[in-house]
Parts: sequence; C-alpha cells; structure tokens
Amino acid sequence: MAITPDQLLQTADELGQGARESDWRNATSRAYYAAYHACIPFAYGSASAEPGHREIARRLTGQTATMQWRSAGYLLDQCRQLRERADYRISAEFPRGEVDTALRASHRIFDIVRTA
Amino acid sequence: MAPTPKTKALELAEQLELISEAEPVDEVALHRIVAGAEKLMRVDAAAGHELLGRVAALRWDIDEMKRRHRLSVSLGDPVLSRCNFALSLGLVGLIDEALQVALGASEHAPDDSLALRVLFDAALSSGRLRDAQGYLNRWRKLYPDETAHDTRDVDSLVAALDRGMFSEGGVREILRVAASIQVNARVRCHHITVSESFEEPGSFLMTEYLVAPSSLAVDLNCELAERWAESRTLAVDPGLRFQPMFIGTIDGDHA
Repeated sequence: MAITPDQLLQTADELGQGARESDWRNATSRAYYAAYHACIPFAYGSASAEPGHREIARRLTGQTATMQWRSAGYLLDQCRQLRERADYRISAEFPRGEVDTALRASHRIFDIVRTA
Repeated sequence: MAPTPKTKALELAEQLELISEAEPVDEVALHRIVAGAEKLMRVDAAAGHELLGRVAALRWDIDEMKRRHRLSVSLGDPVLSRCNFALSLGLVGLIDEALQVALGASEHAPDDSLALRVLFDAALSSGRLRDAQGYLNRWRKLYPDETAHDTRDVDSLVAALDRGMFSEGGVREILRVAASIQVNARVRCHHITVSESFEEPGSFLMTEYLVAPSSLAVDLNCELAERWAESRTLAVDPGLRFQPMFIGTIDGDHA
C-alpha cells in the first residue's frame, strides 16, 4: 500500500489541530515531508527519485529554475529547518505559531505544485 | 499610599508590554496608558515621553515615536532611555537605526547588562554578526550567572562566516529585505532567535516572531521568497545558508 503527498498533508493538518506540543511537532514534520514529496516529480520528472533534503531545495532554486519554483524551493527549505527544530530541539519551546506557519507554508507549496 | 512616579511608570510600562503582544492593539487600554503617561509627565517628564513613544510605536506613528523617545533621551537616564528607544525602533523594523541608538546607550555605560543585551539584539537583527558575538561575549564575561541567549548558535554563526559559508554583507542584505517587508506590512517584531541546522551544519534559520497571525506571517514569507528568488545576488550569498523566516505569534487562525 502506498500513500500520496496529499494524504501526508491531510495527516499533518489533523495533527495540527491537536492540543499537545507533540502533535504540533509531528504536524510540522509531516507538513515538511508532504511538501518535499509533492515537489519531487516537478524537480526530477519522476516521483520515484529520492533526493536529499538540501539537494531538492538546491535543484528547485537553481539558476535555471522559474521564479515560481525558486520561491517554492526557498519556502521548502524554511519548512525543512522548522521540521528540524520540531524533531531535534525537543528541549526548546515550540509555540503554536510554528506549526501554523509550517502547515500554511506547506499548503502554499502544494498550490505552486498544482498550478505548475 | 499613592504610588511613586517610578512605580507608576513601571506599572504603565508593564501594561504596555501586555498590550503590545496582542493584535489588533487594544485602543481603549492604550488610551488609559496615554492618560496615565500624561499625568506622569508632570512629575517625571522623561518617563512620560518614553511611554508615549512606546504607544506611538504600537500605533505605527514613527515620527511621533521618534520625537517622544528623543525627548525622553534628552531628559532621562542616558542608558535606559536609549535602550527603550532602540527597542521601539526594533519593534517597527528599523533595524539599522535601532543599532545606532543601542550603540549610544552602550557608550554611556559599556558594562551595563541591559545596554549590552539590547546592543546584541540590535547587532544580530541587522546582521552585524561579529559585533553581536563580541557584545555577547562581553556580557557573558560580566554576567556569568545570567542566562545567555542563543550562545552556541551565535558562535556557530560566526564560525560559518569565518569558513566563508556566507558573507556578513549577504546576511545584512537579506535581513534588510526581510525588515522592509515587515515595515511595509506594518507588523511588529516580538523577538528573534537564530538556530543552526542539525542536518546541514553551517546553515542557519533566523526566526522573527511577529505580532501577527500565522496566515500573515506566511504571506510575508512568500514575499521574502519571491524577493530572494528575484535577486541573483542573494541566491548566491547567503543563498540557503542563512534564511530569515517570519512566524506569527497570534493564536486563533490555526491552519
């Protein structure tokens, strides 16, 4: 059984509605991976590519990419850094605003993917 | 027993601090503070002007904010008045002016804890990374028992600069772009943090917490991404190695 980036984003949204900080951290992490997987077919021409996190951002923001893709790559890398904070810095505060921002940013990246 | 002017000023400042964390600003509460500050003016003009300067910052009346804070600087404590002026300037995104005023405060009292912390924040916000580390080191040396802010990440930031991962000029430029977006949107900055990537050592995220809902913060991030994408210079330096990001601090519009 396989899942789609949209399903990952849906899970992220559901986790984001939770009341616990652990839900918010997991939502932030899922939101990044949803956007990461959504971008792969457009960056590599195939959904089966497995690029590194920085590699895909570099590809999207490369000098030959369109302005829209470059913006998406920048947002994706911001989401990656938020995901790192959610996953690694568990002793630091992780306020509600971080998950809301991550979810909304991920949705924006999906919008770019859908209109591409 | 009636409160002393100093106690009254502190009380009003604390109320102002609470008001400043909400958006939209509670105008009724702000009016009460203005009335209190005007009354206070009769006995402590410097404190009154300072409060009115902070109120003007919340109302995004930049000219009035500067006028009131300058009056406070001319009449009041040379360090505290400048620190509060610098904080108001930073709140409305005037990062370079905030640094100049913070430098003025520190000239009057180079070892003052508050002046050093305000100077550190102003230097970091405006991309003077080496200077910021210097102020932080000085503060750590003078006040070893106080909790340091972002110590490890600031040291890593300067180490990355020394390794040529990005230039201070590139960092300043992207921070100027971020500040101009914040100023155009008339959104207040609550505080900033900086953190190094675990998976990509030498890459940093500077988070600017805005007194705004996350929906607006994401709009501003999209604008920042577009400005970054348009600039061939910023795409190279700092590239993706130093990124500012806006985060909203106002609850109530969950994605």
